[in-house]
Amino acid sequence: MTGIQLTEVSKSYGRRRVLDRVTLDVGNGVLGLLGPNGAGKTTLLRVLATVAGADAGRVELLGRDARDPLERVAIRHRLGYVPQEIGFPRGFTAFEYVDYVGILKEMTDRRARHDEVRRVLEAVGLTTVARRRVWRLSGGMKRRLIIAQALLGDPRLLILDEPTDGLDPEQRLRLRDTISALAEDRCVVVSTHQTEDVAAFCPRVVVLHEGSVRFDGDPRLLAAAATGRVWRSDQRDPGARLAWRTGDGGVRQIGSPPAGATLVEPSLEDGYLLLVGDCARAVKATR
Amino acid sequence: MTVWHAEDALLAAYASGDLDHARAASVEQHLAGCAICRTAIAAHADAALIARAWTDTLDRLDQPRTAPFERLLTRLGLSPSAARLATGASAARRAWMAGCMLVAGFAVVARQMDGGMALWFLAVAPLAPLTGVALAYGPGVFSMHEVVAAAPYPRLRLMLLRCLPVLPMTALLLAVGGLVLPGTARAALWLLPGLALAALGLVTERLFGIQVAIAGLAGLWMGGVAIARITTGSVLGAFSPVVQVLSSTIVFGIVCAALVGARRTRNLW
Repeated sequence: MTGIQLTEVSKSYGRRRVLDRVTLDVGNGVLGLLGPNGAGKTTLLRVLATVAGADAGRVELLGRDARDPLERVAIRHRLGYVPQEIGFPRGFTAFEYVDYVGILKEMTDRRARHDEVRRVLEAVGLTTVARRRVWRLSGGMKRRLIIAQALLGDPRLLILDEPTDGLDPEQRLRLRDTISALAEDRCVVVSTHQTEDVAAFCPRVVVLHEGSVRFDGDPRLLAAAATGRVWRSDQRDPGARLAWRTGDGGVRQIGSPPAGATLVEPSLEDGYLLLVGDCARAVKATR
Repeated sequence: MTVWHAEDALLAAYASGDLDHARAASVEQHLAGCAICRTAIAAHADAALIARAWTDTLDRLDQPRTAPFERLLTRLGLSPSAARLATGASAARRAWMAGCMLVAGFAVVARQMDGGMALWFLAVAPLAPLTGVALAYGPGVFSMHEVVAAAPYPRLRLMLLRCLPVLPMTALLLAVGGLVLPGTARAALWLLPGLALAALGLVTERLFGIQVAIAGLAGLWMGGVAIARITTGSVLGAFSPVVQVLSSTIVFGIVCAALVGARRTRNLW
């Protein structure tokens, strides 16, 4: 049973096309989703979480057709979703919140559900605050709480929209570890703004730009695409595509070589920025 | 200071519950004052039993707090989890208020308007609580919308559950309105058709999805009202005894089917 199979999936909001013939085939493992704001990442994840429907194309999740209502229910039983916008009803404790989601996931046996709630709270390190009101939790704890609810029922498909957002470095490290371990026998899709997240734990990365897939493959290949185009110098070159001051006083730039610059090893971030820059220029040229 | 210690066989017998009451009581008393024997009996303790006792304790501590209305619903026969969904998220309070205001507004409008307009309001009323609550839990209002949308729990059933806190207040308001205002006694006529539409929605939601189910039923109902208006000359035709009987039959039938189905498969509510 495969994880995700998207065939020519499109979606528009009004006249704006948010997803444009996206085709993806994802099996077990972590898939990192990168893209600038407004590229369609969240929409794609909402389609994968069966929250939004596609206008055209075929969405097959866990071997089932997401357009069929009965199949969709079957998918939802085996799906965990962390939305980007997190909101909590006031007054719930951490335990009550996850328990509430457990009921929504149709875990009817009360005791088994409570055991499962304790398990997922433990998995994200929130056991000690289980009985604390949600509004009294810190931002990072709330983030982990929303991840906990996604883990209920050991889902085969995990859709995580910027799960590392708002976490401190240690928490982020632990979350990456948790996600990598989970991905060994299930399909996990993670969207993020952090290229270092992708470099750290995604064996495969997809870059979205204006609703289309612009890159799909090994993150090292994305980094390698910038080979020979990343430079370091003392002065900012006005002709450089992108240039930014680094902590050590130098200037890192992407583009044609400025005078007196030395070629440096490109990072995933360089490759990503270059690709997105190229895409933006290409789009401008066609308009 | 204790010099005597319970021998291993005695401790084992105590741990497995094989001692008579008198001997068990004396071992118990000895254990309370002797650390050495407490250590010794640990080896005989049933680890599974201890683990179960521990999780039982945890479970008691974690037990979600229940509101009075939630307990009332459970007492009326709803499963605890369904009662939780009906009242749990505090946004339910907002839905409750929305429903009340809708009904209050309806009563006020029905009072102000002359007979004809009041009747049209009556025609729309069976759809009102359902849509009111649907709106209260819609995107942008209900903080858990995205999580709920990705959960398998049937949307309409959830909506109906969330209607529950609205219904008693609705009925009360209408009853009061009917008593106080002349001519609005008719207002109660919408209840049965409203319930029938809700129950039908419950069935059709799984087949067609929420939007189609609600739009379709709303269309059907309004169509029925229009036909009643044309054939009998009054909107009130849509609330004729025939419709009332048909409505109660639908509600009764679906509730029975749900109950039988729940017995056979799993806890539906």
